[in-house]
Amino acid sequence: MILEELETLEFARPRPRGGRRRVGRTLVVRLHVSAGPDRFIGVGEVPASRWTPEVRQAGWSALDRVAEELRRRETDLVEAIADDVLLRTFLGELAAPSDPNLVALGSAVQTAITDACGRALGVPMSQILRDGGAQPTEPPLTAPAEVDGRGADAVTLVRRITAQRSAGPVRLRIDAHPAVLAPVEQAMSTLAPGRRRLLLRLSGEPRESDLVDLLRELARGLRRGRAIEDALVELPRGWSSFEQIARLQAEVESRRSLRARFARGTPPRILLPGDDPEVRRGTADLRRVRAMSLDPVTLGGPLTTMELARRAIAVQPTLQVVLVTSRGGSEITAALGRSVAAALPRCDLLVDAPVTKWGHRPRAGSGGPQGADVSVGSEGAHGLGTDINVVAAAALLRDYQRYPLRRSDGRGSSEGPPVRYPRHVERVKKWALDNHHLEREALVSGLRTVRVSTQSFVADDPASGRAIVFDMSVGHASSSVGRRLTVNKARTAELLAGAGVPVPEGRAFGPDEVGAAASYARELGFPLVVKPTGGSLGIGVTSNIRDVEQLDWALAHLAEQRYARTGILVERHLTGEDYRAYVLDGRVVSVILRRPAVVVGDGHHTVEDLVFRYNAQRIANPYLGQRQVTFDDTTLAHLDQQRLRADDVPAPGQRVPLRSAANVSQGGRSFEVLDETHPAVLTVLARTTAAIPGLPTGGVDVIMEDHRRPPSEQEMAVIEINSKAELSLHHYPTSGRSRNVAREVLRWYRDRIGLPEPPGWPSTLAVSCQVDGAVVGVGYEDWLAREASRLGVDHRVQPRGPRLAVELEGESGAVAPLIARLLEGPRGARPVMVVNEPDARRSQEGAV
Amino acid sequence: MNEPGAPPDIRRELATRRSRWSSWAEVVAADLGIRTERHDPRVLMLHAPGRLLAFHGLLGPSVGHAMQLFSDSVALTRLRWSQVSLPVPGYRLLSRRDVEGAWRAVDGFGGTAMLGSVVLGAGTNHIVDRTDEAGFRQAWQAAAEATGTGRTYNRLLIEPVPQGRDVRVTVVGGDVVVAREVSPAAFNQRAVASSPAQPVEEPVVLDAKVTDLVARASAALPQIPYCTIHMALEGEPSGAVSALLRHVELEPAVEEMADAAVEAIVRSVIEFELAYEP
Repeated sequence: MILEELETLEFARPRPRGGRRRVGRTLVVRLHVSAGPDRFIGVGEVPASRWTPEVRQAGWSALDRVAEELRRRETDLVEAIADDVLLRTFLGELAAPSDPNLVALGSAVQTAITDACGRALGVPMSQILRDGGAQPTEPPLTAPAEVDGRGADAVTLVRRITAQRSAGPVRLRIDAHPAVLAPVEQAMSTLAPGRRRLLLRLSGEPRESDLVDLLRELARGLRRGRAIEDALVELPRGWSSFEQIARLQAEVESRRSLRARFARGTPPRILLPGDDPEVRRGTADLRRVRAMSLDPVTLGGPLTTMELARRAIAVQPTLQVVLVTSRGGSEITAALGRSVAAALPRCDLLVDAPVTKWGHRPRAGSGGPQGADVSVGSEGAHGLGTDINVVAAAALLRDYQRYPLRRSDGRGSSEGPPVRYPRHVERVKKWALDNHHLEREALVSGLRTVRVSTQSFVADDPASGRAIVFDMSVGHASSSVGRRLTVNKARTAELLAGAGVPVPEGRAFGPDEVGAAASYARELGFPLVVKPTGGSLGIGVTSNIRDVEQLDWALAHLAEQRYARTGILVERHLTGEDYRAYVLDGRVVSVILRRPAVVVGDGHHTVEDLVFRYNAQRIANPYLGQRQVTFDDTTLAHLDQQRLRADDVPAPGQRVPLRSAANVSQGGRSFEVLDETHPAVLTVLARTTAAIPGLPTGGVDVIMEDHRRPPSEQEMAVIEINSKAELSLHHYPTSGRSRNVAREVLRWYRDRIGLPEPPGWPSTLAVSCQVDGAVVGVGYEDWLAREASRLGVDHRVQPRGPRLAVELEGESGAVAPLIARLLEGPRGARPVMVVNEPDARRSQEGAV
Repeated sequence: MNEPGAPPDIRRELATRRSRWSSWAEVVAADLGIRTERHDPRVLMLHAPGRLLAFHGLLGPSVGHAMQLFSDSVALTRLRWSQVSLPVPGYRLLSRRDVEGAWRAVDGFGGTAMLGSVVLGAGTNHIVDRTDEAGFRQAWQAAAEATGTGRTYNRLLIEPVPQGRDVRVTVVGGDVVVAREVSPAAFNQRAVASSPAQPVEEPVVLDAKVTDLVARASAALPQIPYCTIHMALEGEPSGAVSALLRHVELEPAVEEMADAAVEAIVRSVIEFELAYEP
């Protein structure tokens, strides 16, 4: 079994209770291994509590090293698994880095490898971890009932403890003071005999004498045996070292009066964390401790944990073992805890942290793959027994890395490699991206801007008073009536045809004229396109309809869509590629070739996995990253037409189209091809916006066979004009040249209102901003400092009455995204208006 | 499709506000000998000789869609006018959630102020003062509900209680076409009034200073060649003592406007669009 590939998937973890803001990140390591013709995937996880910014910073390079090592070695893991020592040695040196901060990362790798081995061998992970003939721990391991008793009186404690339904011990958090034990005993006595087991978590900053008194008081209670039958103690922070714990344990047991009494019972046992450096070095005298907690994540993985537990139990046969799972983990971490607990020679308690969900379950009947992002497999599952629904989780994917980097397969070379872009704009909202680009160009050209909303601004030249207004991507020269006309695709086609622009043959019908539309479609002949008369983003569009069955499906599908009430448009389907051109006052400034989402089989990945990879590769693109393929009805219908399901494995080289619409918003790919577009094609495209009264700019959707050939040699038709065309499509193509359409638009508007061409388009920007609204004393300044620091922007903030005066200076590509977000601010702030004035003297001339 | 010389019977269509402007445009176009075509209650195509014009309501191809921002946001319009040194009332713009900030802002206007939505016509204005906190909070609540929760317009405006006459001037291509006074002034109607007086509109004649002010205010708003500007005018319109620019409308409400005024506006707009070169 050969290790083929290592992937890391970093997820933003949503705030509990479905909050919109995200907190923390979780790293999942996925390993692909091959065993002959079969392929398997193993998963491991660094929970959010361990995937700290510091670890994250060092983690990527560590993973690079691990990936390189995996690639260099070609150890057959099937043989290694048969030799337990060989496997453990291999994994131990590979996945347990010397840096203690990276232990959790090593744990994830170790878990993933063991998981993959389990899947390959068809056995649960616990079976791999267990020694050959060892028996599993007696189930069930009941998780403790968590109770916070800090500051609570006896009555409250009783209420909280008796409210717990778990049959396990009570894990009670209290302040470390001897006086608290009386109400605790009173509360515990209300439980039924046999349930009065206590796991005491002490907090605060106690003196040693207080701790000793508390432990002795607890020992007396245990001796009486009426209220508390058994007690494990977790000491507060600062009291968790081996030496301190061993000393306190000895102190409790050293009293002669108690020693005799304990002959009839068990003294309280203080938990020693298994990741104590002394224990890890193996020098500690483990006979001096009575109980130990083991967290596989902080110990370096399941195999390391097993090693430690075996060694400790060999030294201290009566040692109580408590298995703990780290907080902030998903079902992967929880399953790891269960697997290790089941494999340990003994495990007295499993303290299972709550499982974090990455996403929400799809609604029942939504048609997509069901289940949460990580789910537990069926009884007798292999490896960890967990499955990651990667498609459901993809929306929360924060970053993605694949080792080794993907090799080009030589196909589709004209598409070129994906373009990577700086991530400065990642926090600019999806709907505000175009407007942000326009504002950036306005500022670098020396115009002042005023914002009252995240999607619109006014730019003016203070000297002349001349102004430009942008609402989303649309400037003030685009008229209201022009926009209204283009909303109706049938009306647009009439106007275009009147201006001599080729359009497809077709007819529009009312929303209730489904029968008439179907009859007309049959008359027109297949293949056909059915789409809503209004609408955008390819919603409700079905193209290449080849028979009556598909036509009926398309009409029924359209009736369920958002724009169904705008009417039905039936058109002849044209064979060819799908293009979007941006036309600016009779000039074509960018042409994008759009292709529908498609994945190519490699013989061992499922469709679902291929789609996940497809989506993950878009993450680095600020525009495409937010427009991904989902397993909705349309995708599933396409798969169905190909007799495929999401969990099927396509043959090597098999192309699996996921959509027919090439819209990027539907997951399509984009390639910038202006430079190679035939001049005669550009001439036709340039005429389009002039055909619509009051529409100087727009995005023109056109179908043609090949943009490099003249229209006279091919079939070509304009199918739509978008008055609100997105600019970012041209800024961030999948591959090809990035076109700064926003700059072209701004330049045209400056000329239109009589402003001269600016002396330059600086690459650095200095801006004075005035933020109005409830922004003082609400954390706005701290928020701004954090964001500016993240983007590498110099900043100064000063309250001026109810407003904030902000000075920003840095790379224009970093300053502008921050300006775009000034109207958002932190939670609690209520900015209502922002005025931005560039300082031309401080902004430097730079490369355009 | 209407051919010249056969004016449509617009009375039925006049019953709906939605199509009134384009219905009048249809009448005026017939009078001017222009063939018209309609595909939508609000969209009218005019086939002028050598030129195809389209109107969405009153708005032709020369009016930028983005200019709706100005008619939608009182604050943005006033900021724009003040940037070019035109007289506007003082005001504070506040988030609809910032009720405490608003309560403090009332002090800044001498203890009595008017609050209302940033969107014209979204709700009635309310006059509030520092002696009645309960009344203030009730008014704020009502105004906040009226203004909505959208990202752009979820703001409220507080300003000094306006003084003087409520005068609205429709400008086309820099020329005053219609000037009206609304009486009683709509801008300081109390929301709590149990029986608000029925407003009456009267045509007024403006003096040269006010006419010039209106022309400058119109020119300061790019790509709005025709609009209706709301003003607070002190003194007689023909001899105004002072004038403050309050707001702009792209398509004024037509319910109370006299037919002659509507026709004059529509005729001027069509003639402007026919002569307009982008």
